Amino acid sequence: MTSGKVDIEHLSSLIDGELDAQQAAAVLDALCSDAELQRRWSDLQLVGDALRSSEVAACHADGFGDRVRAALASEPTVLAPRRRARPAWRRYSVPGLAVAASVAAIAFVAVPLLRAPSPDMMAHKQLPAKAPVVASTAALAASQAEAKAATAIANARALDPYFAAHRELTGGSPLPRAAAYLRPGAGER
Amino acid sequence: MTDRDIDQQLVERVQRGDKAAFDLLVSKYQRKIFRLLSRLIRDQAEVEDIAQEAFIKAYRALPNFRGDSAFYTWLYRIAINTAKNHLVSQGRRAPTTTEADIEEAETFDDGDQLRDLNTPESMLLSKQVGEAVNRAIDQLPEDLRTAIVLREIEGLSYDEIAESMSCPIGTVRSRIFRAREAIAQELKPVLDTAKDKRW
Repeated sequence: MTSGKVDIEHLSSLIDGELDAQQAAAVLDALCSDAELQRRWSDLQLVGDALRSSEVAACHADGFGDRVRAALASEPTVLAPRRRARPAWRRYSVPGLAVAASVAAIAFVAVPLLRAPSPDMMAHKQLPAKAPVVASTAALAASQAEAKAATAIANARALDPYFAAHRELTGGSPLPRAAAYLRPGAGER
Repeated sequence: MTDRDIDQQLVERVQRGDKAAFDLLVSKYQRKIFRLLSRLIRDQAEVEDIAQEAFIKAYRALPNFRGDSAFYTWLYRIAINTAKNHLVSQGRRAPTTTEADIEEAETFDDGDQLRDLNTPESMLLSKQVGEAVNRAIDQLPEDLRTAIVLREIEGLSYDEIAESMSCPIGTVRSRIFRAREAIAQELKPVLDTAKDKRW
């Protein structure tokens, strides 16, 4: 079943949103220039309304479309001003510059922080090769932290057989198996 | 393409000077606009006049429509504001809300200011339309009935209908179209459409 070049079944598909952009454009082209297709379109829209809501379909006023069409005939044809297309270089360069500026800002803040030695490392560096007669407070704190870490690692190794037996519960984390179970200060108890 | 995409395509055609594309939008939305306006204005003849005015206003304003909202919500807003202006100009009290928003457009409810749609006449016509649709669906061959029900009631896509009915998508397209044609024939006497129309 066709009207002109368009299969009328495609109207029904267009209403259902089942045509791709190219097919839809072709059907819309035909619709806008074929009075018979326009009548069919109107009928199918009414059927759609009736199927979805009998109340809406009951609001049908015959000849209303003709009245609006007659009123529109005396209206000057509207034309939307063409939107000025932005130059391609501007479309791509502005977001690019924004990204570059963000990266630069992050680098400006983060790089000095990453390069600055931590207080612990400073404490290690300040320790002389030979142990002094009186240890400084910083060196003492560092050695205590080291001892805690060693205890934690030892405890973790002791749990290895347990974790090996329950490997499926570890979740395949990229972290060492015991890492998830380590808590700060665990070695003190 | 979604329904909104199709509307947008039609809008862009109107914006390029194609009045016929606007006729298609009118025939698509006229009944929904009538129903909306019927809740604000009692006289059916006035409803049609206000609806026409709203469509003309929409046409004039279309060059400025940028597609930020769906066309129909924009159109509903114009219709509501047109109705309110009409009521004010007639010295009648407009509904309390001054600015119609999207929610208002889609589920318009302004309490006591709105009249009850369920007049005996509208209820009777609505019932007759419902009966005609049911009668038409009952009379359809089973494959057409299944296809249209799956599409309109269940909201399935053509792909899904083809799969559930084990048939090619072209067959689904054809069945749905034929079902709609049959329903249109059954609705004809109920809605008393003009004789120069196809049905």
